[in-house]
Amino acid sequence: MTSAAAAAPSPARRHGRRDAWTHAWSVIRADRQSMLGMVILVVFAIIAIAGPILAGPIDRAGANRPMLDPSLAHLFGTDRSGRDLFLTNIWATQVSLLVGVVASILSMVIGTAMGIAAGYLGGRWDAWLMRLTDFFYVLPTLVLALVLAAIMGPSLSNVILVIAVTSWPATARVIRSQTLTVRERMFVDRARATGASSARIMRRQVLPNVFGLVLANTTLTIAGAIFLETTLSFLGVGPRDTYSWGRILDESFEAGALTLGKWAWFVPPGVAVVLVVLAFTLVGGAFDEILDPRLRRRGAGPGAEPDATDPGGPLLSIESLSVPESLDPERRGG
Amino acid sequence: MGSAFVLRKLGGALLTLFAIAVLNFFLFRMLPGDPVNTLLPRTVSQAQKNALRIHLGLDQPVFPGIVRSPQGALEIDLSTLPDSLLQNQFLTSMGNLLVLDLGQSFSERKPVTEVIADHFWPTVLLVGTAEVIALVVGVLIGIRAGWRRGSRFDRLAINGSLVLYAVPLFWLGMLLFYLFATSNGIALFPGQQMVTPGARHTDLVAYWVDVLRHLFLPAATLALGLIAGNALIMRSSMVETLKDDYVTTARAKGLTESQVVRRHAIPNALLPTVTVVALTFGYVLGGAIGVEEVYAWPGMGSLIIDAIERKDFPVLQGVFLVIALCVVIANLVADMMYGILDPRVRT
Repeated sequence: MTSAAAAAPSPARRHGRRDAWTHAWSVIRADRQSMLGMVILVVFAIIAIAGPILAGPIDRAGANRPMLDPSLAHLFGTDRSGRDLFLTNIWATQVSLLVGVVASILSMVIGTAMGIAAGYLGGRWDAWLMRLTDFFYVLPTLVLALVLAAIMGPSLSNVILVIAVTSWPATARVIRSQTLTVRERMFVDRARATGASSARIMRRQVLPNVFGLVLANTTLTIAGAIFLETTLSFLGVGPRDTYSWGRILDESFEAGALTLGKWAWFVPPGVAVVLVVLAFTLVGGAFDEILDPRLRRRGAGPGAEPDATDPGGPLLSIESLSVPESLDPERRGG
Repeated sequence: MGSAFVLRKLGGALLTLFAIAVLNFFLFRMLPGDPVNTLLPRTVSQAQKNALRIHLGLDQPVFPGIVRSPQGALEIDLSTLPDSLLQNQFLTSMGNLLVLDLGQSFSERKPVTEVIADHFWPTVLLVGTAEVIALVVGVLIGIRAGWRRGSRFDRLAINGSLVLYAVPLFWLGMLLFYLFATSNGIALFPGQQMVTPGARHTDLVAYWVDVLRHLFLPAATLALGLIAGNALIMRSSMVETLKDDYVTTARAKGLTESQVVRRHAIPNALLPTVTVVALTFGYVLGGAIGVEEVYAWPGMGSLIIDAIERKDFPVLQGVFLVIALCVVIANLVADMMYGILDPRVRT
């Protein structure tokens, strides 16, 4: 590995990367919507990390005082077995965010590996890997997730696994088309000329250059994962040993909170889901702007060259209708 | 449209269907233990169990060279090989599928196909109504937003859609239920089911009025969720179309702005939007599950949840297949429409 491009990041490249981060931050700061998203996310992150420590374990307020209305002692009231719902919501924030983040990381790993392999190796590999991706893309996410969760049984790790297995195809498609453009770039040719193996080029040249897109996609995948977990838990196949927003909603519904008028039971967890999903979408929109060369200022950071056309792709695809990626219904899972 | 294009798309759809059938087979063989015990309630007799075992071919190897040990784990056993190439559970199950035999539901004691047929039309009614409302309203909003890009209406439409997109549909359903079907809000509509329980309808009109009253809230919930997506797609389609050369030509001919939009932009922007609706069909069916659960709507969504709760795996398997089939057909329709609209994809 004597070629400059294949060597470890040079000072100039590191500098370029820092520029990219500065640029990213300035885009987010300049855009009121994504700033709002960031603030919401920071607040929820603090609740998820510090909340359970400060609030202590979920304590039954006394099993003889179930179904209380909101009061100063119990901000959201209590549930059927006298649990304080404010505390339960704080713990649920931690669980819901954790499931979202871990499931998304898993899903990103699968999707990125598939996308890079298909895009870089091309030919028969591309055809088969994309056929597999399209197959999973076509299957209705929520239905497949429900069936899988029902078969595997309800537990936190199973739900994470189910979400990861059902939500990687969108990422694989995006990463594949980005890989196709990276593959044609000069430094990849140079690395190939120095005799680097395909595996090494994919790891050292392609991955760093699609990584920004991977991160941008993660924000949207997390939103989708939280959405999916909430729906699965509401439908009764979520983890039974912890509380998530979806499980609180499920229990409130089963206990007849709607007809009993216990709005404080089912409104807060739903509002939390909406805020967090919206926040991730808003931040994701800013990432689109950072990464889309057409929306980008000239010469900002590495990889600012215009998007090459995708030689292997269809002439007309859904993307060309410019449905924002963040609004792809497949990502919502219901 | 070239017949080669149609054949290729049709072949792709058939291949997908086969892959779904294979996935379905292995998914439900992943269940630990003897499938007969998971496929049947504990109360049935040994004779019934044996009958099912032979019907499903469970006395045969799972797959050529793979058997299930008495402990329930899958093991490789090459000694069964020459015979198991033709006699195995996989081939038996594919054969049963070909003759549309999905087995028996044990909670309803009917063939799975009949159970699914009972729940199919309520879902079609719900999803169809919601799709039509969402298409009309979403397209109207999208036209106006795309035409007057950057206006206050446009910003409102985009932001409103973003928020609606972040709302879980079942929760939206719960809110509407709380507000419009219980005495906590204004009880305008009946809450659950598809018809008033125990009601004796004197004629067909009274029956349908009752159904429509029950349909209103779940259909409105589902439609609200779909409007957001349709409006955004129609909006960007309008924005793209208004940039096209023929729109510039139409303007240059001296047509008024409203003539340009009505005769040239809208028809061209509309077609891709309608096609996208076919592509998001799987998502709509998914969204309908939560909404059906909230409103106890007797469709396939409620059926899935019931099947999971009762561990009625034959039904679960059947519904999964039917929904996957619907989605594949919808995708095929979308592909064909693209082929008609854009000759370039017919290569």
